[in-house]
Amino acid sequence: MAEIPPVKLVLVGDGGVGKTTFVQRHISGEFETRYIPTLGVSVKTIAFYTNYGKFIFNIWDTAGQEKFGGLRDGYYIQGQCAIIMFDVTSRLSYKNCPNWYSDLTRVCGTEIPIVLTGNKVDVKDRKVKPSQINFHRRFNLSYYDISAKSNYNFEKPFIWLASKLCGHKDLALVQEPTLAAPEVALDKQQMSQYEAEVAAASAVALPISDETDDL
Amino acid sequence: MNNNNINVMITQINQALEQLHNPKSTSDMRQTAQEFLEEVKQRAEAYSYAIQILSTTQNDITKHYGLHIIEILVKNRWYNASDNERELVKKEILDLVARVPGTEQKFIREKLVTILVEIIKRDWPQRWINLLGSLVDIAKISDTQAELVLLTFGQLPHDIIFENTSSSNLLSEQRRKDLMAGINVAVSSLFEFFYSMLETRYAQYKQVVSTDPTNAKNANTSNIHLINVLLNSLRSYIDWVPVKLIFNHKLDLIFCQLLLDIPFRMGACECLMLFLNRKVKTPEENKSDLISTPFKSMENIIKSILISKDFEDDYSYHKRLTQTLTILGTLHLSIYDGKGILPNNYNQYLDLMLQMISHPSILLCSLAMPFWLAFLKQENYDIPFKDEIMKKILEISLLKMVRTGDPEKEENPQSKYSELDFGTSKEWSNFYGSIRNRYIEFIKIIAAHKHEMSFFFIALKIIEMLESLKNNANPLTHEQTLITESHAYSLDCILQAIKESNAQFFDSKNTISTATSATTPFNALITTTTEKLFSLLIEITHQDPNVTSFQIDCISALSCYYQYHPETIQFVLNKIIPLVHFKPTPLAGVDPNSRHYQTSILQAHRRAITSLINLSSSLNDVIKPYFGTIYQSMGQLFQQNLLNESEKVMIYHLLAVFSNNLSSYQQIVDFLKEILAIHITQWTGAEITSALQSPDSFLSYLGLLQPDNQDPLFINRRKNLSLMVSTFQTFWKKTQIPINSSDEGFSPFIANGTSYNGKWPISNFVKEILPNIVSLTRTLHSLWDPKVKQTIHPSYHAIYQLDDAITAPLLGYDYHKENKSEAGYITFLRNLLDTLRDSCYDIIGYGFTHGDELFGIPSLPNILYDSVFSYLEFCENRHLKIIIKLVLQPLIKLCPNKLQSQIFDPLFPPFLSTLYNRLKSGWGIIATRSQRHDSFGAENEKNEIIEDKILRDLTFEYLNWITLFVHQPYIISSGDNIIPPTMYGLSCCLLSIDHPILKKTIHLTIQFIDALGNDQKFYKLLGSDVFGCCLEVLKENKISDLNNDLMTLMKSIYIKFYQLCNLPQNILLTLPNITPSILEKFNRDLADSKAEKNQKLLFRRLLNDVIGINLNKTKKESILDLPEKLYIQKVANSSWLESNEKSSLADLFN
Repeated sequence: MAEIPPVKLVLVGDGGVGKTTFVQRHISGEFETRYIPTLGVSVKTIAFYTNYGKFIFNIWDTAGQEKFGGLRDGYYIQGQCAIIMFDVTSRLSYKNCPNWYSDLTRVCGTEIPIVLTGNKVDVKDRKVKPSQINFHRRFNLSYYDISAKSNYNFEKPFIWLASKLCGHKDLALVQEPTLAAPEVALDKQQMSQYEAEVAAASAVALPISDETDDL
Repeated sequence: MNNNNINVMITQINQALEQLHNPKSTSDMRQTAQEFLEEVKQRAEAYSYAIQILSTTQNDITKHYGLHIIEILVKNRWYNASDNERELVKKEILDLVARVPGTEQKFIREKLVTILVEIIKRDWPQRWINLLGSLVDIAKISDTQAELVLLTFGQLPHDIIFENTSSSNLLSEQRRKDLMAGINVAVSSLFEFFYSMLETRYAQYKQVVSTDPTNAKNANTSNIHLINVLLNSLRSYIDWVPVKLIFNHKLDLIFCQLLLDIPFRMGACECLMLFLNRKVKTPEENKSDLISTPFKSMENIIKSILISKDFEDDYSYHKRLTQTLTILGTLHLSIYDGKGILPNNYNQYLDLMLQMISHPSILLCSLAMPFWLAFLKQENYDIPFKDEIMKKILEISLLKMVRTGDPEKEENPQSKYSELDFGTSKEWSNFYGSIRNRYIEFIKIIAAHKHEMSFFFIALKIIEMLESLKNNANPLTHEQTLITESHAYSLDCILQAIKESNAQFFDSKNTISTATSATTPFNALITTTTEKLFSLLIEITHQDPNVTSFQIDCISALSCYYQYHPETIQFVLNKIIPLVHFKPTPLAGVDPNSRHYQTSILQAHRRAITSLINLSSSLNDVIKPYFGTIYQSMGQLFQQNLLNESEKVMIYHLLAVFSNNLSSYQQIVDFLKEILAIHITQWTGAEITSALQSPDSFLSYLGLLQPDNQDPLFINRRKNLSLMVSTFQTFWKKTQIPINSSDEGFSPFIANGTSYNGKWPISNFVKEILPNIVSLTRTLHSLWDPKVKQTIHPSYHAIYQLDDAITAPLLGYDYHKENKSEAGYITFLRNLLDTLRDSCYDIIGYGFTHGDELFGIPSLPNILYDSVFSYLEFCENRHLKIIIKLVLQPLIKLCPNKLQSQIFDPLFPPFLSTLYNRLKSGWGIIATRSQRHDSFGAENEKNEIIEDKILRDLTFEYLNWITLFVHQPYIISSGDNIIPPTMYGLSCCLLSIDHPILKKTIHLTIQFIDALGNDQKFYKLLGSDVFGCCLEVLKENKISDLNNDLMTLMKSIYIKFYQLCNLPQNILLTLPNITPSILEKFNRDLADSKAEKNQKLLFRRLLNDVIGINLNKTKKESILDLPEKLYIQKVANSSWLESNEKSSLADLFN
């Protein structure tokens, strides 16, 4: 199978939504309970073994806070795919997703595959309900509930991006990614409910613009 | 700084950027490069580097860095610069915008726009009066410049009008007001600019299309691009500018016309959607003006759908158009409200919307649904074609209820669209499920309004289907099965909805008009149609179990018909009863041993029993004469051993329903005796009694002392035990107290100070059933004793572990039964123990609802102590949780006041102590683990996750239970028996690191403090222990957003006790910064402040200072807060073209 060159993946989202923790779950490290803001950017390489070969993502984990911003959108240049992350317990972080999206597409164009992810779904009192998450449908992004803490859906955004990049819808992992053990248990029933709600959210007509999303 | 030095620096910058972006660079290399680039940005001469970079380099990454430097300077150091410097920067940026070539990368061009907007946000309008003029001038230079100017205008309102962008947070209120005033003044000329550009460019576009249609797209690239950028910029204005600006330029009409041009249809559609959904609606703005043009342009809209480009592009447009039309329709309905005038072409609009909800794409259908829901709910609507529309919606809904369109498993028009919208089958399936519910809602709404129409619609459909099945002996395909299910379900929904609003629908004697069908008395056609439907349902005997299930479902749905035609019930029973043990002859091509086929047969059996239960419950008077027949038939099935255990329990449920319909107490008792005799004899017999007495005899009886024992004798014993207990549980819960019994055995009475309507018939069996339930409960508890565990053969040890079906969801994994590797009998045994335990708790707990029977047993406390409360130390947390839920909650709610001391005093304290220890150690372990930075292996962590989750559930159940304490005067006044362990348990919950638990605990603790009053017994408990615990939690600051709630709790305790004792003061004095004098002053202030608000404030201030947790959100003052009005206009008065002379900018920001 031909070797696939490494892919530059840009990971963006507000400060504290869990971008760095998410990336670090792949390594054998601990879940970091403390919040250490990322300065500028930190690049991590993660490999996924799929039925279409080995996919290497160079993940550009960018600073979410402007004061630690470094080059900000300068890091997005030559980005081939992206993940926009928000925190389901922070409405503001979801509200800001359209800004991250426009920043990304301004530099990388609208053609690159982008996944929207809602992190911290392990937290019981989530503020951004699945029915409110509809930003991604406007721009044909994919959306996944994730939990960096419990590894829930960790691999899903990467599989989706890889399948979009190589154009094979049936792309699947042939080897489970090496993840650090989950730190919390997820309530499967709640997760199924969330999943159903995420889907149900699509049944509601989109608000007219992202700015008016009723959070 | 000389040029050489700058060039050297730029080379270094280039190298650093190359190092940063090179995929082969190491982390250290990137880190070094980043640090260098960050440091350069901070240098005094950074601006000089930026200008040099922008005028010399061709490298996009470097150019972007140059612009980034300027952006950072504008954002962070703008107000440090002099007026003159700022003017020079503005000029330089406008110059860059004016010079940027069309070949420049998009992100470079847009970066320029970002910088420009950032400056505008800081200086416009007061310090940059000529800005708009300058930009309009620049727009004339070339298409590239026109695009940049449009982008600038488009971006501007985002940070001014819409307040939710991150950067807008940086604007001070005053600045925002100034900008808002500026843009409101400018918007009129901006629209002139937009309109004029749109007019010119569209004319050019059309000209090219007419002169060179074959090459129109290429020749028109620039026009198409600019018009789209313009439409995009307009989107920032459409929904808030004065509507007259839009009407003056006929933009609504223009949007409708642009829908016919493929390149602009999407942009125009989005503008139209915003226009119809305008946020700012002034009183003088008439909503009907908004919908007028779109309705008049309906022809255009329809034409635009017919224009085809490519599948995906067309589909995206159709989705957006559907949303727009939905908004148009709902807006119209909100104006119309039955009074206004319908647009002439309203039927055309409705036809279009019907096409939308019948579209193969389920997502597109969903977008049209809000309109149809509003339409159907609009009761004042009186339009001639409404019935026709409703019939069509019924037709569409029936079709859509058939689950089809899986993106991964099907190949059909529906799945083609699903592939575009959904990543996986699961995602699609979840979505489809929610939309199917919407269609069902449509059916119900229509049925509630149009009884006859809905009934005839579905009845005729099913008649047609049955007639075709009658002549076709072939098995149903999967899709046909789905269609039959959707028809049967629709029939049920329609008849339920009709029944709810017109119970006499099938009453042929009802010739008087009903409230809902005011002018239509009973329609004789209803009877003939129903008779035809009914006779077909009864007549057909098909060998496909799915057809049989379909027939049963339809027969069951017609229950409201049988109500008025009791003669039919005999035919119903003759049809359904044999189906309880339906054994079809396999049809050709069907594998009789396949799991699928066997499941279909089992489902038909269960449907038949469920149908009998439902008919017996809802038609008790009609079906009562046949109880004997049914009972006899069921008895034969039992005698011939033709039922499995689940079916037997379901039939017991049916018999329990029969018993509820018997007229006298004594009849019920006799009937129950007859049914239960066989089980009670066995249950009270020596064999079972001895088996349940001790863990050893129990294990031996079930064959758990020998390895892998699958001897049929033991397997039958296990099944039999399960059946017996489930049977008792079913009768215990499903039988009711007689309503009108007048026989001697049933009369109101008073026991233990509580009055009851009469005895529960099932309670007659307490003496027979309860003793062994008690023994079984005790034995089950003792099975978890480590010593007993050792006696069980090791081959069964897995039965103590949690089932994968429980752990997989806790760990966030999918559970697949087929992937299970353990032996079936292990799973069965594990489930048996769990089911027996749950049933025992349920029987005891539900027994408390049966009048006084349990409470009448003098030794009840001992019985409970000996069963539910036995071996608590060996009970797992998951078991304690079920005890609380099934036993303790009903006990505390229903225990007669007179018995509370006898029951609560001996039983609650040890149970509360056990819970306290579990909560303390459980949350303690979690707290310790959160400090730990090592790992003990994946398997251990999995167990931890499961344990944590169960602990959390137990904690919640505990909190739910003790919430009931607050309303129990006996418990509140019970002294130091129950309250202290309860409060200690609450303290453990306060220490939990879990937001919802902590929140609930704080709320509950405040309730306890209020309820407990000023009882001296609790001074130490509340004033010291609980108060100290709160302080600990506050100091740890683990869930900071609850600190305010914690403070409120502490304040409640302190205010209550500080004048009564020194205990809370002593706790505060343990804090390093609190001295007696500080506290004295604090107490004085507190005594002076009568208002609760002030007391809270004082308390907060004291704790803020000593603990260092800042609970107040302080707003940081910044230069941006200075009012712009203080600015005196100095230099910003010349136009850009006039002042466009090169100046030295090198020293700016230096």
